[in-house]
Amino acid sequence: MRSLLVALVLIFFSSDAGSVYWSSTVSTDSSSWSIYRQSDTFQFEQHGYVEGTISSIEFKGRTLPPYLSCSSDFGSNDVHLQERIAAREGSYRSEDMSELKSSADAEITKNTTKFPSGLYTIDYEEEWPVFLGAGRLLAYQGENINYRDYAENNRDSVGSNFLYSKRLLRLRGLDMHLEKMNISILADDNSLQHIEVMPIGNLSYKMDANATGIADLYYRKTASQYDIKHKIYPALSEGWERYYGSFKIHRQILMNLSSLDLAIDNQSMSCCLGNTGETLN
Amino acid sequence: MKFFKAAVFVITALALLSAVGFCKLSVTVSCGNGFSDESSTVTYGEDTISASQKLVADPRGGEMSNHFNFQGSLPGASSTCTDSGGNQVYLYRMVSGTQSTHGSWDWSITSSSLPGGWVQGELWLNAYNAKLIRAESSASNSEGDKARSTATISSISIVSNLDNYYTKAYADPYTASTAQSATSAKGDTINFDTYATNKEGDMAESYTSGTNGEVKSYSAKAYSKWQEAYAELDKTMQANVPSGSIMQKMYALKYDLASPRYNDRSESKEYLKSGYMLTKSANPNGYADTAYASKYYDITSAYSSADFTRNPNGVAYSFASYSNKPLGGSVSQTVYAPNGISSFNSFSLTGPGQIGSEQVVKL
Repeated sequence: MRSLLVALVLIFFSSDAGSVYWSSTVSTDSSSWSIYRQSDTFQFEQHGYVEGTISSIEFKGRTLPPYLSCSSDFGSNDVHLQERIAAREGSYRSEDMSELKSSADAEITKNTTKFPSGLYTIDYEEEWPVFLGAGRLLAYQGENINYRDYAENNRDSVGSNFLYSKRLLRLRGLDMHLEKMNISILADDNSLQHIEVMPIGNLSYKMDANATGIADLYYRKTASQYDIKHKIYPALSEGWERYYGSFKIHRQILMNLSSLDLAIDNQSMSCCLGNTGETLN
Repeated sequence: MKFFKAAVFVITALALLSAVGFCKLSVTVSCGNGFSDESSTVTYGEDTISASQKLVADPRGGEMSNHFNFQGSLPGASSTCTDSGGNQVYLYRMVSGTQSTHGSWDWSITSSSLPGGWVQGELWLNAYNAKLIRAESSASNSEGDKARSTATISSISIVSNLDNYYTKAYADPYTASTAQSATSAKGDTINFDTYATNKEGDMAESYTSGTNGEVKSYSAKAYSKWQEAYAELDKTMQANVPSGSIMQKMYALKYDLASPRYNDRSESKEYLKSGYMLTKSANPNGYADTAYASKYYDITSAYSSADFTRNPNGVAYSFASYSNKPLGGSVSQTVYAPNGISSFNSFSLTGPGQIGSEQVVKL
């Protein structure tokens, strides 16, 4: 019985302790809109490697069942990645690396103008950039594994679930970048008329998987225009897929936030993982 | 209880009435860094003809500032800054008028961004051709010290002006202070109130109230801290009230925690109806207009001085009063200036073995 081998490197830099936030609310007699932003100036890097067999152990006279559980949440300024892994007895190998850079030193500006016609324009400018890159190679064979990941960059999101998999080989690369955000509001004394929240950045997601069990894949690209009546940012494009059985999956998603410059980033995190020797075929 | 219910009903009814038929837009911006939180709310209304605002928030530095030009009325705007140590400052201004009303307005709130640090707020305001102008700054700390400046200028017709107004509030764990100044304030009624109180209830105040005239070169400040409160009219104030009146009062109160009926207080004021008044520095032998209360020294004092030119139908008098715990009562004196008298010095003083109330009139 081979025990788990764990290697983990964490690097954390922060220019100042404590996060910063700003928020704003615009309201009229008939409608309102709010925003809340939180960020910090720091840098975070992680490299992890785990290889071994998930098996039962004896502890103080008791037998603990074989079990593995991993959870990670990290991000800044509405750029986030969440991962959950839970597995039972089997062979397990995971290599992952993640990097998060965030800056929240710049000032926030808001310009409000009321014109003699009665119209208001309210413009916000935020330049709190964030870069989040994360790659993971996961290989499992055994009784059962559940894996979920969910990535979001300022309301645009992508994710996957692999559930009840007896065999899972999965490689995922993720880059998310937020450069800045502009907000533009048009209103009069009675109501808000037009709101556009325009983050500038991108989300690049690449995933290859060879798995059994259930696979859910989803993404959501939201509009920059706020639906004032329903108080939501409606989806421009949204997809959800579910597969039962045994399958190979290749998926590549690139979203640019409020920009038409769709340049595929060939330097995604997936290419930076070590030579694993694994094959997805 | 009935009175309380009636008051609540009236206030609610007034609030509802004021809301009916009045469309407005309000914008709130907040920021913070874990040590301090800054917030600003501006309300615009249908009477706001045009406005241009630039707000800059620096959450990391614990700062927020604003530049604002407007034409028409601005229903109200406030800014606050609170830190984790319980220090707080508050700024407020409101201008009501018509389409010809205009002005500019800036403010800045800052904090030390450190535990146990300080917070500060500053407000600059120019408003012209208004019916009602109100501005305020206040400061408080967790110790219980408070300081507040208010300015209210109003007119039945559209003649209220407030030129180059500035107010500042500051609070740290040991002190709360405020100051306000204006190059000129003109209107049917003009009120400046600058005062400070401490946790022990001691108070010092400078209060100016005028009607139908103009006050120039106004500047006052006040602070409170442990067992002490102080207020001062720190520049020569000029009041031109040919058809109105002006009153300048300095007031100090030493609160008796055990028995409020034994409070010590001192009050000194000058009053002129129809004429022209100068305070402090125009009178080289006069007193600086100050008010001071100290529980530590067991003393209150109030001083004021004024030169005046009285119109033929005018009235001028000086008033000083004190109450003192050992006496258990109060004494007040009022001196009306006969013809030919053009200057007052007044002081009022209470303390252990040191009590008095006196007016000096000069030829």
